[in-house]
Amino acid sequence: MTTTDMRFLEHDADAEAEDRIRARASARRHTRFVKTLRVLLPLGGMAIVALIFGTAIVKSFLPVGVGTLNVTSEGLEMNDPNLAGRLNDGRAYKVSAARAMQSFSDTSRITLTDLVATLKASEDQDITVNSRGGLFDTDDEWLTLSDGIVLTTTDGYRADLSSARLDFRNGSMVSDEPVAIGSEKFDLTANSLDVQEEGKVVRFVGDVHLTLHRGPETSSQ
Amino acid sequence: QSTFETGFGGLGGESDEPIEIESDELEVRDQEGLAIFIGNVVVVQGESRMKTAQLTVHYDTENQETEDAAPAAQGPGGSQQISKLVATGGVVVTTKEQTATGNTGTVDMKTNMLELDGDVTLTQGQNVVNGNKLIVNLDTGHARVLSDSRVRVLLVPNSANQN
Repeated sequence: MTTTDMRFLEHDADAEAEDRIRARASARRHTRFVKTLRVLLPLGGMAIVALIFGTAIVKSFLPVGVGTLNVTSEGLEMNDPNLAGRLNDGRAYKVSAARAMQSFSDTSRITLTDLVATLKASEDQDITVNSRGGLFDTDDEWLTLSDGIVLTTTDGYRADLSSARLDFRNGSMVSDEPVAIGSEKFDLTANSLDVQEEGKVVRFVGDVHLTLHRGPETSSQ
Repeated sequence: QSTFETGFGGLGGESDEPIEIESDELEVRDQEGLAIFIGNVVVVQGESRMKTAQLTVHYDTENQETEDAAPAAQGPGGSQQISKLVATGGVVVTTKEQTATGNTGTVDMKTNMLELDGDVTLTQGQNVVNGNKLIVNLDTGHARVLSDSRVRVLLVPNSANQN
């Protein structure tokens, strides 16, 4: 007897055939609410949330390519700087910005404008982070992103934050402003976000609201 | 040991209404396959609603599936199966026609059974059934209230319309 699998996710023909037979067979009323508990599957997609935030933490910034370089009164200005590298687990990342300014007064601080970071999460999954503002401290290895951050993944997840602080040393990312995550399967909003241990623990705090979309069975995530 | 059998229906059949879950906090521990809704948890779909203090969703992540290793490593959105839901700190499930309460509740996705434990009450109209355990078969909607001592049933004549 096959165990009752997650029919919601199974999409091969005999599973659907089996569904139709089961649906016809169960004459008695199903409880819509309890029945839908089985369809809490998109929640399984929560793992993607952990992954999004876990891998979005770029381990190390090694300036590689710097576009035009000019010296201004405040500091060293680099136009369309970009850098690429590999995280220590080998995944490739690329970070570029419209402008980066390293101030003379504190050379460990680099202000970034229109930052774009992409990270290869797995063969078929890239994560892209766009942020209008950024301040990167090369000594203490943290990066604050501000003025609107959008994070997207190839398979259609999108996260919108207004600000975030990434601490590369302890692998954390914190945002104490509202966060919204959306995908074909679910929408999640909360007042703040706290990612610890590089995504092992992802906490949403304050007015958490998750909407699981139902409707026609879409292909697996 | 005595049982009381009834239907936990009245919720209607198929539905593609979205499910809304609200709580004070949500903690996702991906490697442990846990998504924990903490504080004033309310799950709503259509006219059905569940309220509890904490709802823990257990899901199997890829690395936990050991038997036949999935051929290609699935992307992060790979199919995680939810294995169990556990509600603690008091559970109230209300539907259009019935209300069930208990101290804790579990939904086992593998066997498709919902179970409420600890001073369970099942109410329909003025009819109230008390026991220690309510077990609902999610497929058939068939419900049983069990009690160590005696199931107390309070049926008020011609109060609930027999549907």
